[in-house]
Amino acid sequence: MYNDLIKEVDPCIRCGNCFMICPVVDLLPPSLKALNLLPLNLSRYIDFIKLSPDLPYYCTQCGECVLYCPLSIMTPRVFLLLREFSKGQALPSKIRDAILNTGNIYGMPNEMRVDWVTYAGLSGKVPVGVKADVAYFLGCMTSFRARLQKVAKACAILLNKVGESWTILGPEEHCCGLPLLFAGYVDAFKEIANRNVGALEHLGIEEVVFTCAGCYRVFKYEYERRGVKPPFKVLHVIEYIADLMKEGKLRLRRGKSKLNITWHDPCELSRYCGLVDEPRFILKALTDNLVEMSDSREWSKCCGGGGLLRAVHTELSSSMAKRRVEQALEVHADIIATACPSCILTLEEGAKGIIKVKDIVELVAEAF
Amino acid sequence: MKADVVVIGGGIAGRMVATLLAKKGLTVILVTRGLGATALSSGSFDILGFIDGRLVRDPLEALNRVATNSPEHVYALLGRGREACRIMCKSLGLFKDMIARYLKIEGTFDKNMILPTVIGTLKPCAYAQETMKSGDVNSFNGEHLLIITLKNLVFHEGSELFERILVSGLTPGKVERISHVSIKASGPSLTCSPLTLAKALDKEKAANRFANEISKILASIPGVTRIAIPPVLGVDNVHVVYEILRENVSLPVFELLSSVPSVPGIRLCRALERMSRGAGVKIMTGWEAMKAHVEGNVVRELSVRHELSGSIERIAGEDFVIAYGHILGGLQVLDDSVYEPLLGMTLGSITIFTEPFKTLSFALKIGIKVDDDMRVLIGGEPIGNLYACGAALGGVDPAREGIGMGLALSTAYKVFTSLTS
Repeated sequence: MYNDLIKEVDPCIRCGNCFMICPVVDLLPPSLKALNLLPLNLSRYIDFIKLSPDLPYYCTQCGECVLYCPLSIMTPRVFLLLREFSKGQALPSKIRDAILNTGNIYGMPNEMRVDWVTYAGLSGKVPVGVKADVAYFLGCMTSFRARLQKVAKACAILLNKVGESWTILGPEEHCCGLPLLFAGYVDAFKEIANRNVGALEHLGIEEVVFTCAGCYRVFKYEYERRGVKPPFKVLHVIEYIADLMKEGKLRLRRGKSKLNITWHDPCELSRYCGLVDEPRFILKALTDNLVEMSDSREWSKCCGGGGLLRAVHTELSSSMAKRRVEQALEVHADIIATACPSCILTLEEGAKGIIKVKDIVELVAEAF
Repeated sequence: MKADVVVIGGGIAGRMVATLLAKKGLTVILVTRGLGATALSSGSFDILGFIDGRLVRDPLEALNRVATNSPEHVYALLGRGREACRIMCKSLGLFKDMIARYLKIEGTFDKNMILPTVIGTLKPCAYAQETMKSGDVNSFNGEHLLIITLKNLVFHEGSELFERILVSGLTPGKVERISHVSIKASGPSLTCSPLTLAKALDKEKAANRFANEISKILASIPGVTRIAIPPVLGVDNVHVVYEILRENVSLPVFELLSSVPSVPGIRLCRALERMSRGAGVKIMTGWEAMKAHVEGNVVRELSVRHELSGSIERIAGEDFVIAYGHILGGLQVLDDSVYEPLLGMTLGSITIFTEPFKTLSFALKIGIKVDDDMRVLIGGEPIGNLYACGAALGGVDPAREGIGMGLALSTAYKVFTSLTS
């Protein structure tokens, strides 16, 4: 493992770009900052992990450093490798146990994944575990968190509106496995990948739609990279909506939106998957006032919600969210639109009610 | 995916050629991994700084001489003598106009400014960002220089050291006296990176506060005639920040040229991004060019790989432009020949420098050879639709000759004229 690490950081020319732009490092106290000059401190860093296992969790896996690195060193991957050194410690193993024992990150009974249907008043309108063309994969956060269940509701309304033959997996849905990757458990990740792909295959699904940016990225790229190739099409809901609009199957009303809307690019979608044009195409149909923050598209700033940073260093994550919200206020946005459950929760906390944070699906559902 | 022209590389050469082509109405895809060497630059624009280690005073005259007398030098590609000068002036002029909305650059063709850097060296360059221009040592005359350093700034905090070096770097008579004040930067965090501070200063309120602090210092030190500041005066809003500073401080103020990591370099890159996007270039950020698919004598497609996801796409194009820079682009030496990674083959013998262009490093003197139309040569034969510009070209040692930006802009313009004629 140490050799893998050396291989990753070996090309480093010590220019300091990554260190300079990292939104996490910027908020760290000076002592920790110095330690994060990774290639200079690698062996010391590993020693320190033994003392303080949450050290490699000072990274949101946002990937901005990769764009700033003249040699494209995959620093997020370096941090994942470092996290394998803290395996077996309290936090990572808690996450693993929850996911493997219950199927979700919260350690709740997995049957509760369908409870949102009742809360949303959609009883009888959401097919669960039936054979269909399209499956809607909610992800743990959207299934269980009250704020995000509104996103699930909006997506269900959208799928019913366009008359899609669709289903959710319900209790058969398991965590996509991304937190396992983030916590350094690659083997457990493979197991869970097989379980999810198997469940979807069983229902004869042709397309899987996601509202979660993390789940989407994992299904689209990480499963195959680790030997589990999904036999169905993987679509984020922004791709799905953009396609419907282009085919003329979905017409949106330019509702009340005299409001300024800005698009917060979730790292998982913009930098990791290159989806930067689709959301802007949709938002332009919703409003005349699409405003761009100073860091946008692939150069977007992380909200602080990724890479388990929020789970381990919650305050830091909130400070990052506050900075991102400030960027939105600078361009006089009334609504921050995004498409990632983690971004929504983190940004809402940073926004403290000064500015609305909405999932793009919610905005679309309002505009039928 | 399809485009009229596919540009490989998002540095200054790539952005220049892509923007020019897009403005002509062609569809252009630009493939870039992210920020490359341009972001590591000081953000000034050099045409020709040194010949054989000697400082060049008049870059245009020197260019004329080099292009006429040294046919192996990359500048000979621009044409002989005056023609080379014409292309250089045209390209820099065009660039200056195109980027003016996002970043103001100033200077003249026929006289190198001599600008001090944060590590105390002096750099000759023809053009520089407006914030740097007042640092031109040529215009110094018995100055009382005030150097302001920022205590809590990561990277540029070695104040005493850089004051000392600065003194030794300046010609006697130019600077009579140096004062030094170290203040705490009112950045958003306890110790902040230059980029964070620069972003904070982008906001007018913060810029005003910063300007006020400097005015207060000035009141306590009489007789100051010029002020040097670390390179942190804003990123996207630098023009406004600088105006505020100039209004509050009625003396010439300048940013020192940066070492790495470089805020002015990143500032330039962000301006380039906005310039090319504004012109309608389709930019694929985070993609690495992997392989050019050649049929007969032309390139048909380019395979590109998304770095973070690993997905692979093919881009078809009528013409392709290599602008991936020097070593970072992947050029290597193989069997005494230059190995080009996209074509996956060696291109022919290495350009050997003749006097007076000696070079330090073997790795730095390799590069791609092109014909008069800037098409890539393999063993002397051109590939029909593959062009090259910028630091990827052989026959130059950009760092040692102080030539980087001028080389990038002029050769990019030359590729543009070849592609559109």
